[in-house]
Amino acid sequence: MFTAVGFSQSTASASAAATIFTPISITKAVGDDMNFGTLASSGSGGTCVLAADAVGTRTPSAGITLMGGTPQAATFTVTGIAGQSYAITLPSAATTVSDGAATPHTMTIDSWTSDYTGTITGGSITLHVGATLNIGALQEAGVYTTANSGGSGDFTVTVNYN
Amino acid sequence: MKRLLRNYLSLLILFMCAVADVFPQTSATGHVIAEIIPVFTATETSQLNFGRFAPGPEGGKIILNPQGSVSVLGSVYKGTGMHNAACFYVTGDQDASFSITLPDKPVILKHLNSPKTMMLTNGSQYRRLAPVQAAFRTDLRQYMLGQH
Repeated sequence: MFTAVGFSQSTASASAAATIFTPISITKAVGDDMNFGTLASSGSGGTCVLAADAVGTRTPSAGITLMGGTPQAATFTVTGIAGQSYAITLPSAATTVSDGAATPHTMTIDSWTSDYTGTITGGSITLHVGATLNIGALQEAGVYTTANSGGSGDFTVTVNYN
Repeated sequence: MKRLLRNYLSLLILFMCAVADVFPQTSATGHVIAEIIPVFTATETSQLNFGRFAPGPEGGKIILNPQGSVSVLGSVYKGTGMHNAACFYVTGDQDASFSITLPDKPVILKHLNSPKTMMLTNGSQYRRLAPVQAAFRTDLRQYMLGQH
């Protein structure tokens, strides 16, 4: 003989909800790297400021001559929730470019800037990043990149939702 | 039961904090490229030299062309001795174009032991496509002789 006494069962219900939001992302297309173009140094050296804009505006200091090339700010695409505010983190330290020679000649890049506006308008925006190139006196001629031996490697830009 | 619920909520909060802290952040990397070309230099290898001459009573001009030839106008008489145009040795990026700018104002030459002067004028400018390490002569070519 069985009894139900002591085995009484009770139930309760609860609702569950989950919101899946669009993750923020940042990408850079091939060919959208930062390019200071072609420059000529002098006996005193100097700097070249590359603006964070769509046309690659360069501002040389005394002692530096702009010589053409294809200057451009680095261009990234940030996607996420339309209208959502976000934060950007640029490199806090200098990056080094090298000519890749057996005994590498180098230059540093610092003072990073961007045309960050704070909001992912329309769910996808274009972000430009500029910086300042520091050129030595009588800097050795050559093509300098962060990827060459003696360079510090690529620079990193980080974004995050606020 | 309450204990289970409390543990469950704690785990949920921890999970949400972890997700909020890590998940949304994302990064991208980029190269930096710059090209440096050789410094442009111009070094004088030969000074502008009109050589020896004798002024006549009316004064005149000595014209020294970029090829180093001298001719005279007015009462000036060529003497013997060396004369040559100034020569500069130019270095720069191969096949780069460049320009030169000559003095746009007269240059006054002063006599060492007297207040007398002579005036150097008519510099002009020309442009050419220059291979690297091209040498060229100036186009400073006219010399005006004052009254003596």
